[in-house]
Amino acid sequence: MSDLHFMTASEAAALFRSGKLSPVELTRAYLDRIEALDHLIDSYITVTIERAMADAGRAEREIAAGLDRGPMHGIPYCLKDIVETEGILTTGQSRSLAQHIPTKDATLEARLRAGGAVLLGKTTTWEFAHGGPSWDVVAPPARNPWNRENHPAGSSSGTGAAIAAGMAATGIGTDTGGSIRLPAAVCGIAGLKPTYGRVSRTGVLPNSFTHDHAGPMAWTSQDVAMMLAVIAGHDPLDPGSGEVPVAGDLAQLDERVLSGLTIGVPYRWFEEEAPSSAEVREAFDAALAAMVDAGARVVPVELPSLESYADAKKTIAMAELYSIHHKTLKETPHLLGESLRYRIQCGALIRAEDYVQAMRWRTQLSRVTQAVFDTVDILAMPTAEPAGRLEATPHSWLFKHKSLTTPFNTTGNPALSVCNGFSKAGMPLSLQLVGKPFDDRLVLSVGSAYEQITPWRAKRPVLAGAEPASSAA
Amino acid sequence: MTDADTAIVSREDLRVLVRNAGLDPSDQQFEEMFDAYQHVKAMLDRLNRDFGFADEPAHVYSPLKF
Repeated sequence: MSDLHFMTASEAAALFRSGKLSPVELTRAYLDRIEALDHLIDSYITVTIERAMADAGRAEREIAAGLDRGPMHGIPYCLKDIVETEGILTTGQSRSLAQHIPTKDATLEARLRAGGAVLLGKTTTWEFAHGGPSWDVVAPPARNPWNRENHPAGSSSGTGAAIAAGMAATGIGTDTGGSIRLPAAVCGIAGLKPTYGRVSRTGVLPNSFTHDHAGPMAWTSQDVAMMLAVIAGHDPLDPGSGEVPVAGDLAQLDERVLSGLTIGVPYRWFEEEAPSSAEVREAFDAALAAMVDAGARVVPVELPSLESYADAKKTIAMAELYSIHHKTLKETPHLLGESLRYRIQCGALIRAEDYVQAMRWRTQLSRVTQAVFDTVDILAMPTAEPAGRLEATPHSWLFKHKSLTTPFNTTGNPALSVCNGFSKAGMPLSLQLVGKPFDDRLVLSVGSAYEQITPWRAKRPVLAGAEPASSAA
Repeated sequence: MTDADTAIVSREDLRVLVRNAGLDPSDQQFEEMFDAYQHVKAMLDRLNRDFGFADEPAHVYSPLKF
């Protein structure tokens, strides 16, 4: 078998069970590729070779003996380096944690281990999932495998880049304002910000407690669903964890979901407030047309301004971020990168009243947003513009840009980014799909159905000058 | 970077806020805060504060959570 590294997790899982492929063989293929090519995209901070081979060997023996630990059994994955791993360096991409070796696994990592998955390593992130891209942190920023001069967005940069480049089958990212969906968007993969509380954040270094989500990333929505099925569920150790039971098998998606589906589109957001480029708009309109051809209908919806969601979110988040990092900022600020410092230290000046008023506004914004789902099944919009050059971003960008992803961190709705074709320059375009709280399976079903009626999953990046230009999934 | 002519909060006013918050930033950190706070102040000025007595915030304490 050639191009094992571009096999989907679903394909690999089927081949494991038929005895035609072993987890050891697949893991070896990924480790070889990481060793040969990751210096081109800097997607990993730590590669866990011994752990990976041990996990893979165990999975191989168990599957051969007829033991099935579920959909991720034997599947290689990577973890954003803010997810704590027992005995394995977890830096948060920060010099302040350059030697940090946790003594416990994060809950989601424990669930992946129990599910028999194979850890390949820890991936590059923006510092504490917030400040970046930065060059004054523990490792260089990741690069976009579709064009290594370009960025892979953030903050789950390494996970997005590694999956697109065939250096992991699946991976974990986190999302406080778009940090799963944006790397997924610009790297041409699928990434789900689950419903707030659907996936435990215990053992994940915090960014903003009330906006933090951890979630799966993979080449396809189906693979995202497989990973979600293993990590989803209530965790009493996480105060934000939802006590809503997981209904049915999250990995079993509805292939006929587009028939009769009502899609709401908040046109004003990307026509007036944050106007999309012509090619992003053209691709978005084509995506809607494809779903209408498959039986869906499209209706315009009106939502509060992007700025209102962002102002509520950033006021809350800056106060929460400052409360987390105040000691480092006061005692050893030189151990934090300039980008992170710039973005969080004014959190000290946000008054308690500001924080509470922002939280009251959040209640209103959430109510208005959830009411839209009385008339539609799902929302659709572009996720982001395609990636530009990797270069230092003005720190004030955080406060100035209008984001199509942040509203759903404010509200907690599940939101998925999938590939929506390619720009004239060859960079991935993106489509964001948003559902009702705890309707993650519907969002993934729509994403998967869309992937199946479009050709975008057949094209893989070529790491220029490093491999033959032939790769297809 | 923000200059004194375009700042909506002056360095002098920011120094008071910073001191009241118990901070003693280096010169570099103070300049970072001076630039960032122009954006933060504009954001705080835009916050909706028009709520009725009973409009609760989105974080509500649950005694069973802890």
